[in-house]
Amino acid sequence: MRRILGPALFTLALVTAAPARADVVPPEVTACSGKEIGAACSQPDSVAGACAKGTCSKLDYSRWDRDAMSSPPTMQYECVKCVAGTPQTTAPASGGGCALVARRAGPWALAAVPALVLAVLGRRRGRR
Amino acid sequence: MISGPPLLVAPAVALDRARAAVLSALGRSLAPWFRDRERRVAWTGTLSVAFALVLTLVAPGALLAWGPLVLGVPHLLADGRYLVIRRGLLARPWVLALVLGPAAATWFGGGAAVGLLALVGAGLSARASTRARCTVVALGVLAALAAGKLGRTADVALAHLHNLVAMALWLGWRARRGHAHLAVVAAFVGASAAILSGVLDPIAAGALLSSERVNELIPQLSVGNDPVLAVRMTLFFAFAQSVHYGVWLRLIPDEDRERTAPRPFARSLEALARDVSWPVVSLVALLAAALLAWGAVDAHAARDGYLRLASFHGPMELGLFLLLLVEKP
Repeated sequence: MRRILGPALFTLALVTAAPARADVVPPEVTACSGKEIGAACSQPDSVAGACAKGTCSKLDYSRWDRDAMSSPPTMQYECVKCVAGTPQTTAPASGGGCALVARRAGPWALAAVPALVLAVLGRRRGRR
Repeated sequence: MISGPPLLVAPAVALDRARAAVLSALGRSLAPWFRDRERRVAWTGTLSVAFALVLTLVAPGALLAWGPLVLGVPHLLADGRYLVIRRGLLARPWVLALVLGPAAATWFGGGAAVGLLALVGAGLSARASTRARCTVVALGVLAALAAGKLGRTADVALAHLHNLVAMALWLGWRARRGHAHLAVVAAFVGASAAILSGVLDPIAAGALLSSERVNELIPQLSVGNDPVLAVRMTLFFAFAQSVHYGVWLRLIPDEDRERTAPRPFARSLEALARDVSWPVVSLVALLAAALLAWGAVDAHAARDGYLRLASFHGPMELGLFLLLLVEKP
């Protein structure tokens, strides 16, 4: 039982810890991850909304002069985020279909490699 | 000469020749450092920790980008070989389904919350007392719930934790008759403390901030509001990840062998093929070469591709670590 004490304490710490507030991708951006502009989404406070182009900000570590500044400067960037409003269905942009297929097929293609390894090993065991 | 694909065997034979030349040049005085496993593991482990630290100080961005591309795929094979195949887990389909299933679910975007269900699988499939199994299951449920609550924080925590699990696995791999291995632990703890306390900031932080794609690397590998701490967490990840590769590719293979004497590279390759078959070795070599070729075109895209492929192995290591822990006689 003492062997499990360490992992148990770690889990307890995870359970009781508060989530880090500065998750770099804002939750309203995460809500639109992989979605088209105009698609329905849910804001962090569970209010229904639609994905729309907007401006987000993040820390710019590449321009951080640590001798002169206590923290990195902030940079603005274009993003797709969940804003309150009615969803609209829009046609995917040119090439979006292929990109979407690639995005969806990618993990399956990756999963095929270890599956192939296991299949070879399984056949080898079967022959023994 | 061993039989196998010449493209794989020839480099191993060349490495053996080079090692023999170096050893004969160094003379017999150093022979005990190579012959005795306790000493050999101590100095090779300490050297790999020191090497990882130096690279973290001078080129952390390159280490984060190229480390996984060069050593990532071979270390995944070592993971499977030492945690699954050599432990006889291929003959236990319930372990494979219940531990590897949730781990593999991370390929489809489950994150740590789904991956940590591998711990539940480990508890359910372990050959241990009911009490120990229930404890692992409870641990897994709590960890998965916590990860669900913490979101990305848990993903980052799991990424850091799996680097440390490799060290823990190595430490418990076999009974030891001396304390030489503690030199590796001391080196790792000392270097980690130096990175996390900020003692090395004047050198390492500047090197990281001048790296390409630093604005993506730091948010990927850190949590919290404090940018100073975020930089140190990223540096620590670069260091611990490199040590974790060294553990899987050098230390655990050395510890796992029945014979304590060092083995030629060609013989090690032959033993690997005996464990996993030549087709698997060839497939993995092909995958590693393809990843390197992709890296030559776009190192960061290739790293992202590797990380998608490898997302299963953190939860798998953690689940099988607990399985080994509760099944240990």
